[in-house]
Amino acid sequence: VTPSRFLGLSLVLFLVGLPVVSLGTVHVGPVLGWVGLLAIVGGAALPAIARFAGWGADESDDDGSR
Amino acid sequence: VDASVPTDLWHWLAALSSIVLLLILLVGLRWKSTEAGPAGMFLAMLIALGPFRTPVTTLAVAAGKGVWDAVFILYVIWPALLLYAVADRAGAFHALRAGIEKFSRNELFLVLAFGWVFASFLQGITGFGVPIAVVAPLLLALGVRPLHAVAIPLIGHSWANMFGTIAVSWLATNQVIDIADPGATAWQTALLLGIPNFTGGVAIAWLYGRGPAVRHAVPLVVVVSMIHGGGQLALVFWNPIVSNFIAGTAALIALYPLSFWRLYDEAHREMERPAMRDGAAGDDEADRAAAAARERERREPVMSLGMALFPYVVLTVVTLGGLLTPPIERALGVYRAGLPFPEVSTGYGVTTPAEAAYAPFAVFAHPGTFILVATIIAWIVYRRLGYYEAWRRVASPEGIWKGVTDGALPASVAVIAFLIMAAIFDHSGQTRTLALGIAAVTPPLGYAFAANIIGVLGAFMTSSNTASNVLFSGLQQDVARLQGLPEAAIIAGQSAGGALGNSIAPANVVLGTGTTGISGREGAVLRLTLPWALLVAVMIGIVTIVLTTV
Repeated sequence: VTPSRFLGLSLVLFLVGLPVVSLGTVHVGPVLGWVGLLAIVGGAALPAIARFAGWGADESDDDGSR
Repeated sequence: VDASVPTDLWHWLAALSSIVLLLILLVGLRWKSTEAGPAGMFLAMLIALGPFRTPVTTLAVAAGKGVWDAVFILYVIWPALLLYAVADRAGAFHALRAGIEKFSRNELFLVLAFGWVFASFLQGITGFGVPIAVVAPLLLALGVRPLHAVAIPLIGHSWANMFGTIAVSWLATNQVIDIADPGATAWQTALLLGIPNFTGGVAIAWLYGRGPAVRHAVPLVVVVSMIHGGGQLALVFWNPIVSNFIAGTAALIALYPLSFWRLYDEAHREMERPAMRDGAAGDDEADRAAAAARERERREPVMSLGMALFPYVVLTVVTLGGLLTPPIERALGVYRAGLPFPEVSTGYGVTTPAEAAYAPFAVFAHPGTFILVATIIAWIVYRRLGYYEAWRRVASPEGIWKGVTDGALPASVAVIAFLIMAAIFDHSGQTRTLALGIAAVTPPLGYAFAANIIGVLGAFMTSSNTASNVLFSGLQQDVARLQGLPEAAIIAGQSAGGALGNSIAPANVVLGTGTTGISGREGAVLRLTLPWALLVAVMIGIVTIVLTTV
């Protein structure tokens, strides 16, 4: 089960990471760009971590496909 | 040819590994796309950092651009799901099914009409996955099983990609390379696209009811593919820009007289119908999701068929008005937004230039805006006429917002991961390694055969015919010249492959699974579309070889 709140958080991390990468790599400095990359990587990893760690497994939005 | 990327077997296999992993996880192990996508993305990142010597800053820029590319698709997914929920909560899909059953009793005709002809028409005017996001729920309302409801428009719309969306892929190809003979390239592309068009109609009939359905559908498929594929082929000699739109519209209009054809104005004879919820043993877990809808189907509809189709009529009118009226199109395209990104490179010297505004997004000219406008108009009209109240008394449906987020959230996360993976492939040079590796080991005729497979690969990664052609047209042109192959045939093969790849692109599949309530079943959908796509790729390859000899 990947609860929808983790998918929502994942989407937010992606969307926050995008401008941070742009701002960091163009204006501020590469370190901020890496922070943006970290947010994006976190966004990608979160659904799998939440599912396999069983976080919020009581929130049932699974379609039973696996 | 770009010689800066490594093309040895080890690097080629390393570049291929993330695609193989993605396919194994999705199709073989049936992982959900929200988990398989990031897994593929992480492996692509590791391969980029290691064997392809990609600095972290380059990875960051690629990841940022991938998220930005995904925004174009998310802006279709969310409005399309909203449109579906706004119509469904008013009882429109129930009314659609009930109304169409009275209008035509030939189920196969209806499946082809929606899944092939209407999907192709939508691709002609919109793109960005709209045909899948819009048509899949319509097929669901017709009684098609969820997996098939997604697979059918994926197959049905793919031929229309290259010259669809008012020929955006064709225009982009002309922008990135200097085509020596645009006329020959256009007609040879249109000729190759006739293959996924005709076989697409046949494949949809096959999915519906195997051999008996194909035999029943062949006359219709021949007539419609003459209008679709034949029409497009004839029209590219005059104007490639509108060739697909006119062919798609003509086929849509032709459905009306065709529905009076004696073969199709009555219900077809009894046959096994594995694509239909009431046509085969329900051994698929996804069917459980449709059980509630089946229960509702027994109830009286609260609106007429015309009113149920109202949002789609509005969508068509708004889109045509926006795209085919030059002053309106120009005005809508004025407001564009794009983020800046710096020049980045890899240890092998693969350099991606800086962009002041990367892939600027014309919000008002985007199909998502047209869907949103149609949704708002439909919601106002349905609300004023009291359909929400009436349907709530009958079926007590869940709220609109919950319906949207349930489908859109997993689809969004998966699409972003897929497109980050594609951007990493591009920025680290993995894409070019794959294509150059194929070019390096294949003899000229073998390369002619493989040209479309490179196009398929590009579209599989990016879910875009345009992106595939932008990525690979230059390479295809270079290799054609080096190997003494006719450029027109090779670019045509690339373009046809780019169109075909849309039928198996995971980001496109997610659009359908999201709008039909079967998020996570992407691998099962791919198992329906992949065999057809492979067969068509072989056929396109053979015809491309023939074209190199003319």
